[in-house]
Amino acid sequence: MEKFIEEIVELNEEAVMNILKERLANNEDPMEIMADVKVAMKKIGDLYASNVYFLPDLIMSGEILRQIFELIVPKLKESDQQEKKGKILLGTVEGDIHDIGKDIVKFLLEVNGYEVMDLGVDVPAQVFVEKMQEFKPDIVALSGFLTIAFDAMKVTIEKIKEAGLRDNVKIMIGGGTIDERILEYVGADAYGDSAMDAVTIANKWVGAE
Amino acid sequence: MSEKSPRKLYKERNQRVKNAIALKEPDRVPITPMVTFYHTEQKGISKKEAMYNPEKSAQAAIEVFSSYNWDQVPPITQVYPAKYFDILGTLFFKWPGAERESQRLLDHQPYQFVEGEYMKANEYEEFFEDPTGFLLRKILPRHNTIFKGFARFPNIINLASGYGAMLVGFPLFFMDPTVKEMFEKLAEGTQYMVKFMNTLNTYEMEMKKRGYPMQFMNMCQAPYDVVSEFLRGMRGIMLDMYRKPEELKRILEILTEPTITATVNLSVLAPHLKVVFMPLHRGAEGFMNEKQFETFYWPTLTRVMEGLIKNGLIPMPFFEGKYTARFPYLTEFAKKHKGKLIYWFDQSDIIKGKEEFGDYACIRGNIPGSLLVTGSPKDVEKYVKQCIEGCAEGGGYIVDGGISGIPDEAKAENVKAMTEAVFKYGVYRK
Repeated sequence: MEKFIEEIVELNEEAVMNILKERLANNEDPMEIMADVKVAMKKIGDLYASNVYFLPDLIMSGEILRQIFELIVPKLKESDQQEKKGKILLGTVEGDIHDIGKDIVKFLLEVNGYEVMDLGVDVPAQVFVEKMQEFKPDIVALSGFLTIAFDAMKVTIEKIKEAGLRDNVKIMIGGGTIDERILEYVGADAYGDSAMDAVTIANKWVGAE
Repeated sequence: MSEKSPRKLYKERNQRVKNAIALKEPDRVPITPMVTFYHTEQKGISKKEAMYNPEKSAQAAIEVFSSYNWDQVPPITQVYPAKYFDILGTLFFKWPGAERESQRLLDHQPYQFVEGEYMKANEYEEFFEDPTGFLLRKILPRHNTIFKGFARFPNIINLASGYGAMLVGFPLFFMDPTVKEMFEKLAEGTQYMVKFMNTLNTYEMEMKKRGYPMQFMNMCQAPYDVVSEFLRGMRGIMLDMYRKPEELKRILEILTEPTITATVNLSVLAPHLKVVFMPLHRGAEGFMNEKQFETFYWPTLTRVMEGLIKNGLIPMPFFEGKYTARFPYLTEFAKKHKGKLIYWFDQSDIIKGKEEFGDYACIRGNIPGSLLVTGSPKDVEKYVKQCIEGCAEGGGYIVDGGISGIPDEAKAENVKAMTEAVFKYGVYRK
């Protein structure tokens, strides 16, 4: 439904919820509504990637999405769950408790069809290793904002190597102070300058889109 | 060079920075690095020890900074007094070795801010009705546990009801055990802060004796950042831009004048230091679009800067993150205040900045933290040379790092290379 999609993309919270309630009252197939939501999210992602939308827009769209899901998810059947593009283990490395960047990355990865296990902040290298064994991710994504994260990322990747798991995964890093130099320093496979890069890089790695 | 007395060096160094700010060519590009824990890390002092033992931090600063030929040394105010936070029961930070477990980080971790929605979305009206009362009764107790006594602070207007309120009602508040405890703790905290300030002062005096002036002591924030960090939280304020734009504009407006007044009042503590450090957080590229920047961030920030300039102070906004796309705004403001401010950059293109507003504003920065931590001295030298070549012409350039100046983990040889490069490439005239 064009209007519904448009209102989501324009972040018109009230209009979105009014249309949604109307559609549900009309007994529309929740899967069809979800398909529209997906189209809208893709558009929002594109606007973000092309620097039209920024962090506040993502937060607002997340807020709208949350309210949509609250109403729709109970109506979905188990079989309606779509297949995931890949599994991503995500966390802010040891010593650093910043979560803004990480949470945005998580949000974008999830709306783009990835299954994300979020280990939270200040995550020791050993915990990444243990969770890798348990979750078996395709990609490990390390976040960090402080300069203390440089060495923590390096240590984390070394530990992953020591555990013999390095060849099983691709590793991406990101955060406010992360750049090309740090990528080389820590020995990851890619770094992202913005949260959207996480999706682009992941898509490339899993061969999606 | 070694013939000069510390007193002469002190004057010369200060003048060099003054000239750079006033956009006059000094004899050499000045270098004035900022630090957080760089000096204590260099001396092998843990972050916990540095924060709990200001004397050690000061001693480390004296030793480490005396070994460089910097034009102005950094204040060590960024090594926050942890003991004071313990006494107040501060909740908006986590720091190494905190008494309260919920705030405690490991000894080697730097302190970090705790994002929170300290003021709820539905509390704007309450704030507008009585900002002081709201901050006193609601926000202070949410920020610091000892202030929970303030939650019951009587309405002063009640005193108008007569003797009963004046003689009994009002004093009753001070007899409350939580309130009594609060004032005791506050007295203890104040005593500690006096000691802390004395330590900072001793450090400054010792460096002065050695010929090194101080950069600055005073700081303030953009009203938007104050609301984001201490009231609504980043998420909250971002949603308010959509849901409560008028309320948000109004609160920013209300906080503008008090920000100026408070900063001017603080400047009395060190009247010889004119520069005011303004770390900017949520106005960077990526954190909002241009329209939002223009509506919510920039107007009150520029009014604060204008207010400081009117009072003879020199605002030094630190543009953390990227601001290159916002340069037109910076140019417009600088044009009106030529030679009266410093723009300190992190990841922006400062050479482009020089072209756009170099005739109006002194530029400071932006040797990347990643380079100082992981690069080689040769890489650092090359980078500093590039910055000097692109920014030094006609004065108006000061060398420092990007984010927070020199990162805690920077290699000493890189900091040395950064300093030496200034002497090698930054000389205007012998």
